[in-house]
Amino acid sequence: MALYVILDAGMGGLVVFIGGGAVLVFAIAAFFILRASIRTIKREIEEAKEDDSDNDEYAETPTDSNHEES
Amino acid sequence: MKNHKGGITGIEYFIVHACVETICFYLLRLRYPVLLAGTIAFTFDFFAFLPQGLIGKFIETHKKLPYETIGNLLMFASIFMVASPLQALHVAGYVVLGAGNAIMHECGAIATVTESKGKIFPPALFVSGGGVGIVIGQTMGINQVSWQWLIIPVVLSEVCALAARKSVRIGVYPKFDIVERKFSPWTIIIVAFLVTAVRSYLGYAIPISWNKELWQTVLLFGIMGLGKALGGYFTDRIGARKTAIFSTLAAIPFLIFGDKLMVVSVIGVFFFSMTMSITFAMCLSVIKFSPGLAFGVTTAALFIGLVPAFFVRFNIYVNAVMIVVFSIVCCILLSKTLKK
Repeated sequence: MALYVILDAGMGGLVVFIGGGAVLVFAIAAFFILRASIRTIKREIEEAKEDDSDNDEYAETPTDSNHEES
Repeated sequence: MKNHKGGITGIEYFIVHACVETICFYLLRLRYPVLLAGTIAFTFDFFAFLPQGLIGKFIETHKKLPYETIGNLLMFASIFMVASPLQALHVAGYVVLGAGNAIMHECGAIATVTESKGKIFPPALFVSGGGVGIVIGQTMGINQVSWQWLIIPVVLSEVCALAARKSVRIGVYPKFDIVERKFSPWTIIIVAFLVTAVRSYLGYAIPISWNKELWQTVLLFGIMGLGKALGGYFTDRIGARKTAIFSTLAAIPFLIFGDKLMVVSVIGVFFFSMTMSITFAMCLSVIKFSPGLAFGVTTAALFIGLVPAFFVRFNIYVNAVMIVVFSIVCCILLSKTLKK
């Protein structure tokens, strides 16, 4: 059946058929790559925020003065 | 104190990048039948640009693998696949080529940022090497130079990449801080993404409408590379915001002559290319512990900016309007988000 459809469609139809399939494959692959990338960026941003807040904590903590006991 | 190590790493990866693009653009020109030209270019760009962020993150977290050699071997293998008389191997060869290209790019981004001491010029120098490679590769491909000559850039790329091997694996990165803190990191990333996508469209998609002779191709990509390097230099010297405002506005009058006066509009491409360092530094300012991932944001944007060119072409009037509108929007976005 598929063979008759392709033969009926001719070369032009074949190009559209395969081309359409290729575009779909690329679109799906792009979706997964971008989704994974966005998740990874999200993790990195959170890590950077934690690092910033750790630095702020250190900045705010008063340093202990060393008293020499006589 | 001068950053000699950063400069040396920048030069090493300038050479690597030039070699990588020589191989890529030779092979892209070698098999360029009109029917499949767009498919080949799209396939290559997809695998070379889009997954770079994930590849970079993997490299940073799994340091022991010999990525430089893997990348160069993939490119070496792709030469045989694309040059093969077996047509079935050609598209697979471009996929392999794209993957090798992506790995080498990420090694370059990580190494040059690591040694940069917070200056963007070393990574800018690395990126600008691509323009040289594109020119050489296309010239070789168009003139049907024997593919065996590609062993030279393969070997040179491997030698230079191995010389900078340690820089890829240090794992400690300098701080970049060029963005206004009042904006969320996602705002900064989106702005950097948009500006890069616009730059990609202006730099690649619009010039496609030119019937380029070889000297015009040499001029376009040479100028583009020079703009990228100088953008890094000026960003470090006078600041990102001044460089961004100047380069985006200065580009407008030259780009408007896109279709008719190619030499003039190339000057516009030169100015707009200067924003490359700025957008990368913006991503580095918010993605602080993964320069590979930060670089991947810009390369993904480069690909997205190219995509419209594969499906739609506009006339010169629409292009002119888009150039003016996009450039002004980019100028405004960058002036708001970059530190004064």
